[in-house]
Amino acid sequence: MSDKFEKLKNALTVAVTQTMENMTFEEVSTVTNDKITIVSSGHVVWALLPLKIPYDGNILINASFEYSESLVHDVYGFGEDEAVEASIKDVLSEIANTIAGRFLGELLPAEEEFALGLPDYGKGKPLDLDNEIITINLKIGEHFLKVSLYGSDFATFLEN
Amino acid sequence: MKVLVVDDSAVMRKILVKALNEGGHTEIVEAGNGQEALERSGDVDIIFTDWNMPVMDGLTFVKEFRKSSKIPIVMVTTEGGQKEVLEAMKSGVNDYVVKPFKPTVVLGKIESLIKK
Repeated sequence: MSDKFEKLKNALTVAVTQTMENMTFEEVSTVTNDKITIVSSGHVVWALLPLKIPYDGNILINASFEYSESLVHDVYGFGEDEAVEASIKDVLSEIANTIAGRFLGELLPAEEEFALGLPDYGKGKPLDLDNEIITINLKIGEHFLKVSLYGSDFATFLEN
Repeated sequence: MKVLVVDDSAVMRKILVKALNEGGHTEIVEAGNGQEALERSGDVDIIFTDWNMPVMDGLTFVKEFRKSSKIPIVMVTTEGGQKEVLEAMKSGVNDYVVKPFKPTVVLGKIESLIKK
């Protein structure tokens, strides 16, 4: 593995683990096998956060509905009467936004500015995009979470 | 001690409130934007505020609030918000925390700012 790949992977791992630990108050461990399947008796939910400057790309989170629901009710204490779907969207979008900011903060020099886009959210099958660069698989309690970095700019970053 | 938490994201407010609860702070007022914060800031002792919010943003809120109060204000910012932090400090913000933050960081800010 190249130094640049290691740099990207380390930056994303730090961003993901710190964000999940600090935002979910749970211990997080990375799972080393490359491919995991998000198991959900319902559907998989995802949040996609565009990276705009200096690299064009995306941070994608895929999670089970059960885990997302447990975050909404058990961790953040949203009431049963509050709209679950809207709360899940809010939670995953905030997490994706924080991961993206932390990732670029870790990757770039301190004085370099960056810009993020607005999060998108969906449910159904796990979302997959072209130009996957790295996927970090996490185990949080009994649940798994996938966080992926996409983008041709990052492919170029690795080549140059 | 009464703490005002200002953020348009209900999730971020929940996270801050949870962090504050861990330190024994249970008297907490929440606001979803700067305008609500001005209306609810009457008798609070310290404020944690986000920057980018609808209706009234954090910068406008701090400038308005500073016309009548000197209580500590902590800005909650994302990584890469250094420009915002500088502008915030000039406008009367006392300190800042960067997301994602540990509860101990939030509680440490209260301790250091209230002790001053």
